[in-house]
Amino acid sequence: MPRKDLVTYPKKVSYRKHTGMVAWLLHRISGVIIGLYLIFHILGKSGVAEWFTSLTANPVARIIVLLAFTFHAFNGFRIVLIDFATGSEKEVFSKQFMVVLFLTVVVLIIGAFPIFS
Amino acid sequence: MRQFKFNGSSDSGVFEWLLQRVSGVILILVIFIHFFSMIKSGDWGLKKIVLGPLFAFGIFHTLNGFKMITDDYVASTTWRAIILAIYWIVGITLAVLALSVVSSL
Repeated sequence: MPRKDLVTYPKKVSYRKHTGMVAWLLHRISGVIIGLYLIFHILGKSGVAEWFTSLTANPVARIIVLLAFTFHAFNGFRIVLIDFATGSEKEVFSKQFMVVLFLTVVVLIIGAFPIFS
Repeated sequence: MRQFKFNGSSDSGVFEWLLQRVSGVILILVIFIHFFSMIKSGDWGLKKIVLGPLFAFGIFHTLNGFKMITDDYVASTTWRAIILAIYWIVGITLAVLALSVVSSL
């Protein structure tokens, strides 16, 4: 029995089982990775946690950070577009997410060459 | 109206929401310059015009994002206030350390 004092939404606008749900979850996960990286990056460069600087010299770690940042950046730009330009139609949502994934892979490949060379 | 009590006014958080978008767009630009420049010679990536906004907007964007996650998952207003205070302390500490890094360049 649903509580009467809670605001509920009709099922058709639910955020579950939707491309946007996956995008939202990946945005959060990548955001936490980049956020923690930035915090430790500043601590490392300022001499408080120098061990972190040597840890991020690893090419695999750099690729993970680049992947997280690239996805977060393009998906964040998609969120800005949804807020201010394209709206949140389900079809547009899916197409935009595919574009985000495509651009993420392209930039990752471009970035992987100088990292591993 | 009882369910809306203590939820704040309808426009509370608008400034943070807008600044999260503005800082995000700026960060896309400066982090790409910083990242790809550091892989090569690092000349452009270490310029103050790149590092300044990177640290300032980066710290804000990160901690405001963490606050959004906290707001989503922490129901207790007391715990939210405690965690928000921790974010402020971490943010100010990071800002001071970032300023020392930028000024030493």
